[in-house]
Amino acid sequence: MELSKTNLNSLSLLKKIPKSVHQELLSLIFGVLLQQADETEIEKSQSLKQIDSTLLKEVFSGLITIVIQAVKANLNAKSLAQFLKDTSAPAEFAGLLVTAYGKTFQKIKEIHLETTGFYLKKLIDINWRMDYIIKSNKIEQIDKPVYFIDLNLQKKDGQIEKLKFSCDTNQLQDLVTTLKDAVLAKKSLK
Amino acid sequence: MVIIYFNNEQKEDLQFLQELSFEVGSKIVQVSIDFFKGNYNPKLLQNVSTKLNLPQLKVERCVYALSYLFTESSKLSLSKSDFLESVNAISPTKEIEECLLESYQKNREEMRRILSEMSLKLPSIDSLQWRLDVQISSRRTSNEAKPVYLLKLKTSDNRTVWFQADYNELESMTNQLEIALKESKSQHYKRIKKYIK
Repeated sequence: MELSKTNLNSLSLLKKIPKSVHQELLSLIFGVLLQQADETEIEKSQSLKQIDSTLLKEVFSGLITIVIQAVKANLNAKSLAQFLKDTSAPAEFAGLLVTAYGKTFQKIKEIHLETTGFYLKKLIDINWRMDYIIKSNKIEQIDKPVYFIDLNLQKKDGQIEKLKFSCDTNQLQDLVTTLKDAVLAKKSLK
Repeated sequence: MVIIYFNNEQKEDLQFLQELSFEVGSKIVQVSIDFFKGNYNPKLLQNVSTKLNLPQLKVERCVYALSYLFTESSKLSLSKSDFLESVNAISPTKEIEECLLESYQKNREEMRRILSEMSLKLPSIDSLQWRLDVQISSRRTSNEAKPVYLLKLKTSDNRTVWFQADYNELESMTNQLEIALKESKSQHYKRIKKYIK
């Protein structure tokens, strides 16, 4: 885990915070990580308000960084507990932290890390339609089937882009063959 | 039986062919075929008319009328008899008639191809390329092993679209398109095809 000295220092700073406040502090931290609360909670809490703001800031940011780094490194609760043992974190606090972490780390992973990764537009849906062309104003007696394919692509910010194209039976056959090859490639991986 | 109708102006323009010798007439027919295929060159018309010693305006209008004849016959896919019947409207000589028929039959498929290119259509698919990767880590996550497909789709209007898909989506897309393909072999489709004919 990459943690700066200041982050690790925040663990020892915990000693300056009264034990009674520890649980509330933890709820705030995990609330923020799960996007269920934000920093304004500090204003609402009597006990948190009384703590010196610089101290609170340092501890808060240090703890958030530790939790996020742990999720990034895919640590489970046990490994986190192991890690905390080697630091200057007060044992009781470490226990509470590990319990809360164990319950929530999958969710945190989903919310933050997978949505802030960069990726190309993602295929989410496909629609198709088959028509039979009879004639047009330029040429009659066409008598051929045509397929309209509509792909839904989702961008990082959730916007959906539609990609439409047409193809005749041969092109569709080629497309299906290509896709089948692609699907088979994955099967041979596992 | 489908026949093309010419309006009086066009009839007049085509009558012009009668006044010419066979050689000259066939040359003009050739010019109109080229004209249709897109090789329209006003200078060429000028050269042809001066070489053949003919008034340019008349030659031009004859070429336009002939192009109309060939466009409509290709569009309707006229049979030999229908074509000859239509051409009869201008009572051509046997030679001119044969020349016209020959040009029509020789060039019909290509003319139909050109017409269908000009028809209304959505951009069609050119190619789909794919690559299977395994996402290992990124700035924010590590120790992953997620298979991911990278796809590049090229369409006929020169657009290239890059996108990714995971295995499940790709599989479901393949299944959907297979179902679509099966439709072209279904009973319903065959019935409609027969009915429309």
